[in-house]
Parts: sequence; C-alpha cells; structure tokens
Amino acid sequence: MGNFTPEMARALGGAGWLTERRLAAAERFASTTLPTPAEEAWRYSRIDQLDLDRYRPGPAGGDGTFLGATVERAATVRVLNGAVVGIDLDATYAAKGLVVADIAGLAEAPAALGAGVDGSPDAFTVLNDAFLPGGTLISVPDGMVVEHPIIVEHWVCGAGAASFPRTVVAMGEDSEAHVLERFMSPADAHLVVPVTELVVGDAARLRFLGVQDHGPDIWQVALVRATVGRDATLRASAVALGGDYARLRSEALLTGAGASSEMVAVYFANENQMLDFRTLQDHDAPHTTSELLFKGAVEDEADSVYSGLIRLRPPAQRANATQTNRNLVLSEGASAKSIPNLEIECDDVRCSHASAVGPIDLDQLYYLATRGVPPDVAERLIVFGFFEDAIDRLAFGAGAERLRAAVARKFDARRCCHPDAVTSGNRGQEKLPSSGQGGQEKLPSA
Amino acid sequence: MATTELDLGRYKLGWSDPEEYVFKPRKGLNEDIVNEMSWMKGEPDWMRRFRLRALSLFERKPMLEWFAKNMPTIDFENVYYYIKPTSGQVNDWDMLPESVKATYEKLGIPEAERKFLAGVTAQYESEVVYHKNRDELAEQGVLFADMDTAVREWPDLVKPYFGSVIPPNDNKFAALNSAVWSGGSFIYVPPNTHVEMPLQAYFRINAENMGQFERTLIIVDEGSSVHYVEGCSAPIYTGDSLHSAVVEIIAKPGATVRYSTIQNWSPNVYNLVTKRAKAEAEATVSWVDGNLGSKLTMKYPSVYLTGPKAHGEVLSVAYAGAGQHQDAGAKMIHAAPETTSLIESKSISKDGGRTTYRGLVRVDPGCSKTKSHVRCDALILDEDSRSDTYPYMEIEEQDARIGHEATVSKVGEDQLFYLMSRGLTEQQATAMIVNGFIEPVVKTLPMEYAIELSRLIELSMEGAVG
Repeated sequence: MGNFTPEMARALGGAGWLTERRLAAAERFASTTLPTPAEEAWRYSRIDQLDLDRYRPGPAGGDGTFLGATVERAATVRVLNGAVVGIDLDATYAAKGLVVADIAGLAEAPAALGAGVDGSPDAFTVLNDAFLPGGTLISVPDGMVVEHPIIVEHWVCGAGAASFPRTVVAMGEDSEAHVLERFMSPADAHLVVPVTELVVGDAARLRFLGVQDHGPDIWQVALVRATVGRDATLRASAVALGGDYARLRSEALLTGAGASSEMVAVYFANENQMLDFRTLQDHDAPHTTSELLFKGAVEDEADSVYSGLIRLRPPAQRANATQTNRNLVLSEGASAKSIPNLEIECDDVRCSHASAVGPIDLDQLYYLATRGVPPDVAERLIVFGFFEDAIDRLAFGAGAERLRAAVARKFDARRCCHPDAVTSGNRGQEKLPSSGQGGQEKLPSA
Repeated sequence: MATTELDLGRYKLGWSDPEEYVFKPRKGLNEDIVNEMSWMKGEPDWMRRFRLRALSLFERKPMLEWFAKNMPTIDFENVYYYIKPTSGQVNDWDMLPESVKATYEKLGIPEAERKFLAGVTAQYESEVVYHKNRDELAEQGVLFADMDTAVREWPDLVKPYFGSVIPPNDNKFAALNSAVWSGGSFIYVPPNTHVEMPLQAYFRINAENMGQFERTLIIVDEGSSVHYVEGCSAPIYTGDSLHSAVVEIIAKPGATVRYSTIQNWSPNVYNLVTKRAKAEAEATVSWVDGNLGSKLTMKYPSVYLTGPKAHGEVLSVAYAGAGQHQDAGAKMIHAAPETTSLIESKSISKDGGRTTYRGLVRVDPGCSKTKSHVRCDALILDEDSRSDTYPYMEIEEQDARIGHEATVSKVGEDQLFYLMSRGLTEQQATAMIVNGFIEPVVKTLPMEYAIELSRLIELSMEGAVG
C-alpha cells in the first residue's frame, strides 16, 4: 500500500530479528486492506477520511519537546516519533533489576513483544509491527515494587509523516509499578499509530495512565491491550484531549482466576475533533472483576464515540463486570455516540452497564443560580464536578492537578470572558502545564 | 438470491370462497405468480404494480452479510424445501402434535379457541361469540378487517398509507413481504373515537390470520385510541419455516395506539418481522412484544416520533429455551422536539438458549428537549445459556437526555432461599421469581393474556412446552 511497502520496512535497518519481524509484518500489511466504516469496529469512525498515501514512514528527525520532571521518577524515557532518544533510569532501581530499555537495542525480541497485539490484530497493529523504529521495554522483575512512577514521554512531529511508537510493559509475578505514557505533538498533520502492550503477571499490580494531548491536526489510531494474570490487578486509564481524529482501542483480557481490571477515562473534544473509544473487558477466568468508567464532554462541532464490550466467556463464573459511559453535550452541533455492549456466556455473574448522554442539568444550574452563582461560573463548576470522580480515580502523583488544569484550559478556550479563564488558546497548542516546576527541556534528536 | 422457490400452496386458503379456486400450488417466485396471485385476490391494479415493484426490489437486494452471519442455516432453498404442499395449515385437530395439545390443555384454553389457535378454521365460532363487539365497532365507524378485504373495499383509505411507513425497499424481507403478502389486519379508527375493548386478531371474520407473510396496517386518526392484540401466548403450530410479517402503524396527532403481540411459533420457525410506527404530534405508540417461540426471532419494533411531544414505548419480554435465539429489541427515532421514549426489555435464557437485546435510540439534530430511557434486564438460568446486549445511541442534538441501563444476572440465591424456606420447591421458587422479573411488562397486557403469559413462562421453566 503506497508508502508502506516491505521495501520501506526493510530500509529501516537495525537488529536482524527486528528487521525480519518488520518485513514479515509489512508483507502481511501488503495483503491487507484498510477497514471501512461498514465494519462494526469502525462504525461511526472517520476511517473513510484516512488517505494513507498522504503519509510516509517518518525518519526520526527534528527536535522533541519534552516536559521536565516534576516528581521523583524511577525512570524517564523520551521517545521521538517512536524512536527512543533518551532513558534516565534511577540507579537504585537499575541495581535491583528494573529494566527500561530501547527495544531496537536488544539482541533478541523480548518475550512480551506481541503478547498483547497478537491476540487482537488489525490493519494498524500490523502497520505498527512493520514500521516500529524500536520502542520502550519496561520489565519489572518478580516481587519488585517500583514506588516511583515510570514515565514515557512521546513527541511526534513532521507533517506528512507517520510514526509507530511501541511500549511494552512486562510485570513479573507479585511486582508493582506505576507507568505514565504521555503523547504530545505540534500542529503537524501527522499520523501516529501507537501500540502499548501490558503484560501483568500473576499477583502483580500495574497502574497505567495514557495521556494524549496531541496537536490539532494529528490522526491517531492507538491500541492499549493488557493481559492480566491470576490475582493480578490492572488499572489502565486514559486521558484524551487532542488530535483531529484520535482513536483509542483499550482492551483488558483477564486470563487468570481472581484477576481484576479497572479502566477509567476522561475525554474532552471541541472544534471539529472526533475522539473515538473502543473498549473490551474480556473475562476468561472465574472470579474476575472489571470496572469501567468513561466520562467525556463534547463541544462545538466535535463528536465522540464510545463503543464498549463486556465479554464474559464460559469459564468466567462468578465474574463481576460493570461499564459506565457518561457524556456531556455542551453545545449545539456536538454529538456523542454511546454503545455499551454485553456478551454473556455464563450464568453465575453480575454484570451491568449504564450510559447517558445529555446537556448540563438545568436543575443544577438553577440551584446554583439561586445561590447567586452566575450561569457561566455555574456551568464551569458543573463540568468540573462531572469529571472530578474520574480524574480522582485515574490520576496519580501530581497528575490530578495537571489534568484539572488541562480540562480547564480546554473548557475556557471558547469562554475568554470568564474571570478565571486563562488566556484563550487553541486546542492542542496549550500543553499540560508543568505545575511551575522543571520547565521544558529541549533535546536534540538522536 | 440464489433460488427463489416460493410455495404458494398456502394461498389457496386465502380466499373467501374456496371452492371457486382450484389453484394448484406452483413453485417459484416470479412476476407471473405475483400477477396471478393479485388477480385471484381481485386486487386493484395499483396493488398488483406495488407487488411487482417489490418483487424486483427483493431480487435486487443482496442478502445482508449481517443476516447471513446470524442465520447460517437460512437458505431460501432449504426453507422452502421443508414446506410440504399440504402442511401449511393444519386442517384437523387430530393432526396437531401431542405436545401442543397438552399445552392447550394446561393453559385451559376453550375448545373453540384451541381450534382457532391450532390453525383449524374456527372463524365462525368466534364470529358468533364476538358479534356484539363488532356491532359496536361498526357504530363507531371503526373499520376492522383482514388486509385483503381492506384493499378491495377501502382502497382510498389503504392506498395512501400502504407501504408509507415501511417501504418495500426498506430491507430484503420487507420487499419479500410486499411482493407476496397475504392476510394480516387492517384497522382504521376515525377521529376522536376511543375503542374500549382491545381489538384482537382472531375476532376478525373471513381472515387468514396466521399467514406466512402477514401484512398489518393500523391507522388511528386524530385524538383516537385503540389497543390491538395480535397472536396470543399459546403455541402456534405451523409447517412454515419462515415467517416474515410487516406491521405499519400510523398514529395521527393526539392518537394513542398500543399493539400487543406474543409470538409463540413452533421451534422450527425463523421469525423475521419488520414493525414500525409513525407517531405524529402528541401521539403515543406503544409496542408490547413477547417472544417465546420460534427458532430465531429478529424483531425490532420501532417508533418514528415525527411530531412534537410524541411518545413511544416498547415493552418486551423474551424467553429463549434450548436451541432458540431471541434477537429482539427496539428502535426509537426522535425526529421532532420534545419527544419522549421508553424501552424496557426483560429477557430470560435457559437450557442453552440465547437472548439478545439490540436497540437504537437516535435523536436527530434540532430535536431539542427529547428524553429517552432504555432499561434491559437479563436473567440467565444456567451456565449453557447466553445473553447479549447491543444498545446503540446516536445523539445528534445537545438538548437531549438519554439514559441506558442494563443488568445481567442469575436468580438471586437469597431470593431462592427465602422462598424455599417458606416451603416452595426450587422450581416453584424460580418460576415465581421469573414471573416477578417480567411483571412490569406483563401487567400492561389485557388480563387474560397476562395470565396466559405468566402460566406459559412457568410451563417453559418446567420444560413442559413442546
């Protein structure tokens, strides 16, 4: 297909195993066709507007803009267009056996690479396999508790380029870690196809938060897929703010008895954005638990799609699964689609879902008005209150404050007259504030 | 379409004076057959042309991938293969399977109705019984007849509405129905008229009630109300393996229409039905839909809310036993401001049965102050059974409040324990809990149906229904 041929994949070079892997995927991709909105998984999406020929696999050129550290970290990885350009790993953790590495630099393929994707491939994951420049491997040894967060900072840039970031987190038995993956980008018309695989071993605990704060012209087709082992706990959350069309497929496969997953997301779309979420809570073992809470707001002409599935397979007796999607529609012209699906193949389970779409509650506005709160301030309070429980659940470290500020910026973008409003700015160009510490550091390209 | 071999043997029962027609059943679906059918029925030319147009649409429309996937075994050739020329309708009580007769016995259905239900022509008995009712209707100016009669007698009333809510090109099965429909009901209620008693399909005179391709049209004029009951809860035995009805309802401003149906086709039937209502300003349409029988049912009654303040409701109960798949749901299309809708679905699956709720709530741009609430509850009674929920919500309007809730669970152990500690057997306790579960829908039915439905669910739970 156009620029994404096996020849282009071969040209990327690198370690032998990686080149072979890419080539095999590129050949698979050559015989694949891109999905269409006629396919259920792509219904309501803007996939028909994607012209792959407008992009080429981007060389990892240019400079990345990365946020500085605000909290103590176990490790920081800087990734530019999918290629790892810097790793700071705390020496104490390194000594204990925590591995944070560039996949491209490994002598052989890490076991966890492909562990998630191979169970649920699509044209874009194949494309990622074919063109990944490398990627981040985080491997936490058995029994290790990583108290400080591990942060993967992505910068994607280059108009007309496409990038294929890959992150693999392998949690050993009874280990614990917090991982934050953050995507930022300038106002380039760029295609980014990130794949993140989370392998949570037996009794391990992983908190993962993916934040996308892309520039306004980015096209994103992302996958985060986790497999959760016996008695393990996964909390995989997402924040979506930027992009022109930004899709996130978020999946958790509960493979071991007693496994549990929690997925929380906050999203806010305005102008002509479309934020598109597809979730899967896939229970394949008894006594498994999953919870999902997705909360979003749409404004201007923006669209959001939430399509989620809870699948309780026959072994999932005594499972408990919930799924909640709530959408605030803040202006005429904005729209939200919500499709919470259930497929239940066992009887001794509890499963429920709820979804709602609506404007700001007039009763709440009225109540605040009777207490002397002007409507614009009241609206702001209500929107923040709407997001608060989700923010509270997904954030860790200094994240909650940053996130509130990011939502505030987005909310205030159109409402410059408000006294609390920060100067109005364009979506995507306002970045997450760095809470006054650290500042931004520029890194040269690798 | 691979092969279209339609057995038209059934239609020999469709005319009022059978001995006049020595109609040899001919296989195949083509223009000649449709022309002949139309001529035999003495239809006006516009209906004949309507059928022919539908036939060409049916032939042109591809079988949807989605249908094909959900019905791997439905192959037109096979479906018709199973129809024997004589088995369309049972002509003798003794020809009924024992299991069906036993169920009638348990339900306590009177002999006359039993015969009717069995497809034995029992029109004359019911005609006598309900004669008084019909006189009252005539006084009110209510028209109630089978569709074939209506096309002949009141073409001016039928023509503007026939196919106006469900055009023949709506889907492949609607096209098939439009081409070869026969039987079904026609109701017209004049303005400001309230029909007190529910109108029931089997009160009709001279009707083919349980046609394979029924066609029902209900027009309720301004400010009027009617409750129509189609089918009933007792098992309907039929030799046909494909049932594909079309039901259209037009509720004029301020009208209220309730359409209740409980299908209990025998387990060889594919039941693919298109049901749609148009609710104009301040009108209310509610579908009460029970699905107990058939091998596969795909039925999504819908209401197009086209006038301000219109209201739509779908209340449905589905029960899927061994080998059954009840794929039912509802669609609410909010196409006017201040419209409201409610969907309540209760499903029960047992012995490997599968229930699916598939629904859509759509709010078009500009339809402000709309409200919709969807609630789906599913009970799974054993580990072989399965339940799916696919609720679609497409909201293109800011000022719309849309909510959806669903739960899936088994019968609560605490509830079972409580009832069993009061001396009920586990089976009785389960049946009681299940009846409580479907109560919100059952209570909207006329009493005799409600009792029958409750009893029937209990029988199904015992595995006593054939």
